[in-house]
Amino acid sequence: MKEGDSELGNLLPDSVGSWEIGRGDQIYTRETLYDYINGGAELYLSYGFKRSLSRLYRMAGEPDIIVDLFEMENPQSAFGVFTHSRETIEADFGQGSQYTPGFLTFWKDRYLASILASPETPNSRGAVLQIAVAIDSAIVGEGSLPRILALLPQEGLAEPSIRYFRHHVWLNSHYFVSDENILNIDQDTEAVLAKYKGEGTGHLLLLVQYREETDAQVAYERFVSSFIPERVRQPAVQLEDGRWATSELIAKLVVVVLNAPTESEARDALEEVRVHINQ
Amino acid sequence: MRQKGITRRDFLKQTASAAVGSALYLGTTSQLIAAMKQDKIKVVLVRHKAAVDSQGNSGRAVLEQMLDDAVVALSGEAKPELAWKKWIQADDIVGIKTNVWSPLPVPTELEDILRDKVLKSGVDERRIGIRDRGLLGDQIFTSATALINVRPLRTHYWSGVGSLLKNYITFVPRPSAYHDDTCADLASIWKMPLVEGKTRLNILVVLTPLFHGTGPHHFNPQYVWTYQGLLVGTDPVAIDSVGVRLLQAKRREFFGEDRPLNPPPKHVFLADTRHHLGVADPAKIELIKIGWEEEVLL
Repeated sequence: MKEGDSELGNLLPDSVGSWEIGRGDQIYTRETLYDYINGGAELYLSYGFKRSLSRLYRMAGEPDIIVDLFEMENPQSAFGVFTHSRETIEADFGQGSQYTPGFLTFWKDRYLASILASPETPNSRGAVLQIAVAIDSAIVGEGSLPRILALLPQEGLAEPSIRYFRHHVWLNSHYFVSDENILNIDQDTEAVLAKYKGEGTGHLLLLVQYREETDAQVAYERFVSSFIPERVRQPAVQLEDGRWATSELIAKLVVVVLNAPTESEARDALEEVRVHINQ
Repeated sequence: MRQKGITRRDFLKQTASAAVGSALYLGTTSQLIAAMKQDKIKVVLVRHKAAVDSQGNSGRAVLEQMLDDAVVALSGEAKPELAWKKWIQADDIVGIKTNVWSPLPVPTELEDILRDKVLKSGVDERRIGIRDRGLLGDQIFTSATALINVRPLRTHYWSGVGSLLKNYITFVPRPSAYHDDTCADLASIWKMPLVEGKTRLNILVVLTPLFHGTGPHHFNPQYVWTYQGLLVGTDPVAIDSVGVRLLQAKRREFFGEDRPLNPPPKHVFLADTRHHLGVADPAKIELIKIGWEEEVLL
């Protein structure tokens, strides 16, 4: 950790009303992020974290406000971290935001902002919103969304559930498949997982895009042989919990349907992707 | 390299492990095995409606009564002092491994109570230490003959849950070395000579657990709930297993759907099946519930 950084620091206000900077800014790099957010660092590092700035705002009689501004390697990474725990679709700040009492986060361009005021008070809430406005204004550019998102069929899509990642552990975070990386998801691949409305609880759709078709072929075969070997001779596979799964290889894309309540929903979901991609 | 590893289907297939697999890994308790009545590990859940007040402050008298009730139920002794004397001898060097994570630390009142219990067991004050960080530079912890493990329960970005097993990570010089595969092998820390066989009592603080996390600090006050409890036992795996079930239940209640812990806290399961440190299978755990019953969730 080191103190001060004009480039990142310039994106944050020096003060907000009576809230003043409470201590020197702290800068963290890939090597030092563990010192700041030990267990949490893995998430940011896996998304191409470059550096972050932590600033504390203080006002007498009020809880401190902690602002963390993360600079990621590209906008897609910032979006990916943002979606990791997104619950709702809001766009009050940046290119997507989420507010819950005491905590506001948003992403814009290659930046992810986190503003924590705990416990929230009427004063701190106002300050949090002002800080967010200031950061939003200071980040001039906007970034593009991951291209793989366009491959998700829109009908039935529960948009807040979209999770974008390039590290296999985040698949297991949302739906445990295997402790091994049987889809070969890494920094050269893009993966998106989303919930779809259907019968009952609906199903999950996972798309993994590989750099080359041969990579996709290898991953598809590994996934099928490891997880749903029955897929070789049948269109969908009923798992031991009664739910259905299926998968298909489409050029550089591996399509996986998970947790479908019926065989027909699993098959239909696959067909939806085929149709959508060919449109 | 293993090509397949342990898959979701492996968990679902293992009848004996179905409860563990589904409850700990997959976020459902629908297949819990009916409890068997023998060879079970005791875990005590004690709750008191007034353990934490509306300002988040803990009352020492209430906490002490809760702990006393728990150790009596756990030990089978008639009085708490007798239970403590079973676990702690006068010539012990005792490290109380606490947790100071600023949004949700162990209440200082509880730390004080534990220190007093050890003192009353006959241990000299100079042979008692309470610490979270810097254990390897603390002579009490490096020469301890007995450990007491206490920390709050919370979800955790990388390991799924921060609970008793994970609390010993500060016994290693480089905690990130245990981050592989989302901390799958945290239990191996418990096999280190510095630690192995020394833990006499484990207390998972569930006064105000964090059941979901967002943001870089993995903390959001919206996801803290006042549960008013302590989970007490001698098997850290069993207590963590109960803690995981509690978080899953709260998440299901709050979100209105199964919302598996993110990532799955498989280190709890593997502490049982791979490291044989304790028991994670709910069917092999006897949960003794004492005190306030409202919204107990377990």
